[in-house]
Amino acid sequence: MSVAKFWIALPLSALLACGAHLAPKELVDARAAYDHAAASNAPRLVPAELHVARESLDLAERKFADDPDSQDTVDSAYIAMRKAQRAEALGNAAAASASKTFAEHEQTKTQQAIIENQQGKLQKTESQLAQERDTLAKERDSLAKQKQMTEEERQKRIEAEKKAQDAMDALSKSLAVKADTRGTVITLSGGVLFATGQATILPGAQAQLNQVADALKTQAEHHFTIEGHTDNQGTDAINNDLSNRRANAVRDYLVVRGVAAAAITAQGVGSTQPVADNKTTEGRAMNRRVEIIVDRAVTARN
Amino acid sequence: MASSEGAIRGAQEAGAQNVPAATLYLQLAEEEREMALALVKDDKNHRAEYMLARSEADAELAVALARAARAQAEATKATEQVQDLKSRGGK
Repeated sequence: MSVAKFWIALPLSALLACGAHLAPKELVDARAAYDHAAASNAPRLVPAELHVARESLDLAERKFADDPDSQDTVDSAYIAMRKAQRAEALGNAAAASASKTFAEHEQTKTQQAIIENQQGKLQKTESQLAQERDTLAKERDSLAKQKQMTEEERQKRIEAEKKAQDAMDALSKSLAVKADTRGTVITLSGGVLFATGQATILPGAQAQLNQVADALKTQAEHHFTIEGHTDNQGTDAINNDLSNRRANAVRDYLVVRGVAAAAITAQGVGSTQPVADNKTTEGRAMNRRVEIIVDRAVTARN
Repeated sequence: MASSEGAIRGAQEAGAQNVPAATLYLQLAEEEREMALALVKDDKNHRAEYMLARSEADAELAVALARAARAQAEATKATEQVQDLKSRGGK
């Protein structure tokens, strides 16, 4: 039996079995199908299609009222059932279509959010990179400046050392200049600097002291110790006092000539450190002296 | 007669024969149309009209079911794509 014949034969046999005024199965199914459609998405999404189904069901109901046993009633009910099923299916299609549209909208929003999030991360990374580049550039500039300063300082030091050496070399041509464990020692004869028993610098010694002052000014990073020495004639008290005053007289003169006062220490050591025999006239003359010691150590005064 | 034929063609074009839920109704529509043609030959025109109306109704239902199936498949696919995108975007 074909599908169509089955759908037609079934309600006929039902009608015969249940009596003339009992609604045919097609009509019962049509009513149920309409109720089902009315409870679905159809009223909201495809009201026109549901209305068509309602009209179709009403027609079937009228046919049933007019002629309950007719094949027209059965066919009308069958058609009404299909119209109701169609309305429900179209409602479902519309709901699915709306769901698809919503999903596509969500997809767009999500993609936008992902893009914005990635753009935010990218901007943050770019900002960090820019900061790091800036920091590196500053460090590079700082290093370049430090290098330049270091080089300038090195050049200045070389020039100062050369100048100092040249000055000391020039000084050594006219005065006794020697190096020992304390540093560079410039020895000035006491007989040239002072009258016997006096601590006043003789005018004739000023040229020598001027030359010494000029040389010391080139030794700006060194400390100077001025030591006054006597021979062993007279008492220690007198010799100590005299040597001290002579050392300070030389110090004061050098300060006047521009040597930094803070760089000079003056002291008298009397006859305690002879360099020659005090028994001879020449030896005693050599022991009467002033030593200016350019300390070996370099200070950070400037 | 023409409206039934058009409805059946519409169902075929909608791919009803490939949608399980719609296949039965397309088949019914075709059989009912054949039966209507036979009724016309027997000069039972009134019965033939109702049979054609049934054929048309079945074909239109097949179209609606095919359309609903396709729409549902597309909605499911779009929803899965969104969920996949959200899960990947969250990582």
